[in-house]
Amino acid sequence: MKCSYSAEDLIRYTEGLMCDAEKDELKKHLDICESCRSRLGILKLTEDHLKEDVSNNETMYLKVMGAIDKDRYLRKKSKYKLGAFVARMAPFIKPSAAVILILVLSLVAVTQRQHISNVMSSLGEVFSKHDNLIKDDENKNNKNSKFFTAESVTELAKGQPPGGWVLSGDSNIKDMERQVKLKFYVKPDSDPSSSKNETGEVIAYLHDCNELYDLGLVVSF
Amino acid sequence: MDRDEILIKNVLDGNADSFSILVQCYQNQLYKFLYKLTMSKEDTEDILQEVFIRVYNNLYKYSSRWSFSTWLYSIAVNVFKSHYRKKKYDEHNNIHPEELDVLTCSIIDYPEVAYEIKEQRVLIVQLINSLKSDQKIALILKHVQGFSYKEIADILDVSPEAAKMKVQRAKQIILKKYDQLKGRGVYNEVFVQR
Repeated sequence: MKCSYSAEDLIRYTEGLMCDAEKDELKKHLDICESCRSRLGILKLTEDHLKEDVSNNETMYLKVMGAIDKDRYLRKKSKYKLGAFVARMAPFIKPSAAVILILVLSLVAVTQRQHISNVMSSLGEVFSKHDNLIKDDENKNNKNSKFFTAESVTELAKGQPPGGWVLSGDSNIKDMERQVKLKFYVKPDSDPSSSKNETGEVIAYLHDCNELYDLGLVVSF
Repeated sequence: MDRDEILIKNVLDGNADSFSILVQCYQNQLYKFLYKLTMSKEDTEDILQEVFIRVYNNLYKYSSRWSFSTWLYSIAVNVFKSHYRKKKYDEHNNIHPEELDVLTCSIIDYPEVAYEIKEQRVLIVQLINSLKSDQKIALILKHVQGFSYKEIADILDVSPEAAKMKVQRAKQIILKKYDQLKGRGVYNEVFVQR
């Protein structure tokens, strides 16, 4: 048989929240439903366990009295009296303080309107100057930077020297603002009958941020 | 002015002995409350001492807007929670077998009955320990001290409806966990005479 009583019903029963008719009906049900009987038993056992007295040696007050500073309220009597007064008045002080603050600010705003306006505009100027100074600093830093972004400025394509070509040397070129580095790769002369080490073909690359940008064949001799 | 307020006034006037009377008035019920929360005598005594020391040091902040017992229990709940946080959760949730032995010592002459009752107690303590901290506190405040939902609400700083919900939810969880344990065959059905 499916049980029609929920946990909430059993809780209402244990808390005495059922009317007499409901109680009688549940009692009849408990005679035939072992599950509800068992669950009700758990609720009652829980309450009994919680209500059961616990013995203790009742000497806690001795330990407490030994641990507290007995002269605490004697030494600074006025301080704690004031503290007690503030604590008692706290529920009235907080809303009153908020109202007083709002009134004072409103009064100041009305009487000192011109002055506040001047102060605000001065502050605006200060912030504006500060922003401009930051922008100037950023521009100066960019100008002083020795790094040169090849890709964005020259639109050169990245490249790699052909296989077998070897680095012959590099050269730094700089002006007042920038510095660029060039690398030159040469094609070795592989002809065994030739007395030369190189073929005379040179490709130049712009070296920037560990990347090579192809400047093309610059010399053939 | 009731008894508690007179004693508090005396303490604030420098009469520390009045505090000793306050402690004696409340030590038993607070001990029971904390013991049901911790199920450990050692923890209960530590927490209880800390509660009374904190109450003494902050007594000047007490306002008669609250009932003194509500204020006392809210401090006890805070000290318990902070003690609970310091200890690892698992350690706290362990049942101390020696504590359960103490509970059954009065019927030790009847070993079979004692065993059955002890097993039931283990089950109940396990079910209560499976609750969330606030649900457990609300349930214990309701049934150990017989506080109203309004008083529980003041202690836990929630609304009376929320306090009632915590107690109801605690009971629902206890039944749900019991059904789960029974389903796994961990416990026999508990039969109690109506």
